[in-house]
Amino acid sequence: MSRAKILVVEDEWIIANDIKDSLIELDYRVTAIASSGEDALARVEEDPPDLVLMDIVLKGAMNGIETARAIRARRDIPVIYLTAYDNQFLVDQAKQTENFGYLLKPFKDRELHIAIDMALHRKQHR
Amino acid sequence: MNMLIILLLVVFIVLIFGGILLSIEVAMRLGHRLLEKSHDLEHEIGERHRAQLRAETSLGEKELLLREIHHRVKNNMQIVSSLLRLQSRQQDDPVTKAILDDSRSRISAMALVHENLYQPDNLAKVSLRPYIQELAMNLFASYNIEPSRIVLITDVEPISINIETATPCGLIINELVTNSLKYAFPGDRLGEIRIDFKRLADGVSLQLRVADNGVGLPADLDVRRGKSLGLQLVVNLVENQLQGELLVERGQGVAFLVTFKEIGYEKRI
Repeated sequence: MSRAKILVVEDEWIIANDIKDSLIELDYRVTAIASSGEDALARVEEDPPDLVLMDIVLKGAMNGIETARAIRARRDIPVIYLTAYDNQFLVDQAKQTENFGYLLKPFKDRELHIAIDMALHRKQHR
Repeated sequence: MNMLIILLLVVFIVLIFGGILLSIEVAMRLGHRLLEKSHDLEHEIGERHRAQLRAETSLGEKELLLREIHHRVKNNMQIVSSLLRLQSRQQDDPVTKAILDDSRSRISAMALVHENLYQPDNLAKVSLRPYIQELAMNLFASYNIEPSRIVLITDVEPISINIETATPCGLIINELVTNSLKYAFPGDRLGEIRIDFKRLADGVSLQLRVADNGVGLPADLDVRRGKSLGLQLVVNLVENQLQGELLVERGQGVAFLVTFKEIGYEKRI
């Protein structure tokens, strides 16, 4: 499934744009970059993506796990967590929400590509 | 006579009673002091217990703080790395692009030290086996090398070294492997790159060997006088930063042999 639409939720602007460029090189479309949970929910409504890449630590009141829960409650969109935090507590918490993958930053383009394809494939064949 | 006996008896009885009363008094005082002392002791035990708890909490907080600092260092290096990639993607000139990509790979080699530093529950030492493996694999990936064309062989003893030593060491490996990937196998030439790391028999000296079986260095290239920043970094990091010894073996391909000792930690604050 090429040209899938992806929303990037990441509060470091530079890292978010680097990920966006990688996604474009991998032939995906990026609907938007959101830097907070609230922003992400608005972007999902504006232009519903096929998949969300979600940083766990975010600006604002909601963290990535809460934001993913809120998105999944409204729409059937797979969420892949991105995080540099190798915090077991957060990893366990993330596992409790239905997630479609987990990438530990820094990740390689190849890993990103595989994680996205697997998540989209899983959604299609459920 | 009877009177005398009675008097003695009375005196005797008075003495006994007095003795008993005195004993009771002494016993009561002793008991009281014992109670006081035991209260004091209980208080001291409680105080020490609280002090221990405070020390443990403070230690826990310090460890958390240290992890947080390592995390932030790593995060900042990632931002620098992303910044260099954003810049590189905007360049059309391959020479400029290569300079930016080289810089990015050097930053990544340093960031990787921090990742391996605080992962295996040890905040002071870097475990070399996973570090070297990941560093080399990252380079193969960023230069788009098929592992079937150039084979990576690593033989690294289970050694952990401090960050002062690991960072220059990582940069040296980064430069040498990058050089091999860029120049040793032109065209579709097949070959292998070997990275060995071991502790020598004296128990303190460490030896790193990075070798390839490619085309070898140009015959007229003097490693110490070359213009490439990569080789200048290698020579200077080995001889000045690590106070070690660099040996270049030219045979089939090229091998760099670096012998050094772990750098002692210099207190800065």
